[in-house]
Amino acid sequence: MADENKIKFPEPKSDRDAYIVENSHVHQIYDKIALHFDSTRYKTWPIIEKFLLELNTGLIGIDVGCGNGKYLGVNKNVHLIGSDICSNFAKISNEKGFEALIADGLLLPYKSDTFDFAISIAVIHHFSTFERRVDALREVVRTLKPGGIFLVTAWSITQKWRGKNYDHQDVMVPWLLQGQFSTSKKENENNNNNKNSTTTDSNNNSENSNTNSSSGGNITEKGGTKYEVYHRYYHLFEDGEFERLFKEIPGCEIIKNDLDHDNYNCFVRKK
Amino acid sequence: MKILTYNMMSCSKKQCVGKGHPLKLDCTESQTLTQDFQLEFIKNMIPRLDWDGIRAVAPMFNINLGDNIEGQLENEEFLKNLFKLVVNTKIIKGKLTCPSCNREYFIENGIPNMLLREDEIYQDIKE
Ligand SMILES: [Zn+2]
Repeated sequence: MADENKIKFPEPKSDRDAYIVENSHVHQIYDKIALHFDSTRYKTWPIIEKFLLELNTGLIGIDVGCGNGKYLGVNKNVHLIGSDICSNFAKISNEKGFEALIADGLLLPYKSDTFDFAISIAVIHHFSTFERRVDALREVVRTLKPGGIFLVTAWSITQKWRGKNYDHQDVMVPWLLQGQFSTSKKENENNNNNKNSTTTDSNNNSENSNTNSSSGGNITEKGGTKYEVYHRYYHLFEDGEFERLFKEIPGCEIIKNDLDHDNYNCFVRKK
Repeated sequence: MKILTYNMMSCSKKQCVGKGHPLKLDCTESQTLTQDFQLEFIKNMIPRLDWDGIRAVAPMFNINLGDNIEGQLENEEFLKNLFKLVVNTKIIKGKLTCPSCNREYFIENGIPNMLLREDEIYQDIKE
């Protein structure tokens, strides 16, 4: 595995350690790259889109870790409430006219037994301990009505489609932030509609960058363009992992769990 | 944040699960949206509403739903008023207060900030 993917902090020993790790290696990074992320993440996954479009008119649901809100407007006949722990993502989603609030996935500000459905797309892999992944899933299940459906997805350790090879489940994944999206350059914030970005988090090659234990922001050069490099923490999922997590949560059952394009798509029903 | 979203919310604290709602709403700035009335949407949504929360906020936005809510669920005028309140009323600035622990959450630019501080999250561990 490339050196840049190696974890650069000690394994969290307590929930509070894990909270601090996630804060500095996930939340703060997303807050920095939110505008650039929004300009590259506009395509929706067909499986998730299909799930949303098949919902009946008038249903109410939540999107936990909604990011730039790309799923919030898929079905105009349901009421979908987005939330993200990163205030910049809540802001981006709100500016698109969607419902978005700032909330911690482990402490959702919703009544219990309330929602007809929930989605959480590519979020659960950012929690850094088994217990916190269980807690995050349990918290969504709490807010669902009996019979409510939860679609949760995570990156898998097999990254054939993304063309990467990881030999460890806990990794750092770089993001090359284009200067124009840097939050330190406020005057360029209006350029965030530029869809010509060439970077994604899978075709990075920042071996020449001087990365160290800090959360990022080092400058690297690629194809004549300067980038700031940021690393996000991921816990990549393996076969059977969603099954082990949901086994800890009474009152729900996995209906289906498929591996598709390096993502596990797990459908769960609250009993 | 629309009133429909507000109606589903509760205090973020674990200790308030089951009793942290309806949150008390103080609204200093709101916006009226213009989404077209959808009869099927509002009819299907009605069983999901928390009427205590609806009754508490309707007068703030000068919407009179009458006293007998249960008897009006087929009345189109009532449904239009309800749609106006829950779908077309957006809170831009204000405050939410938990009825159980009195924690205040602020709404800025239409976004409620429901995050707890680190010391609130780890309160139990310290004690
Ligand atoms: Zn409370």
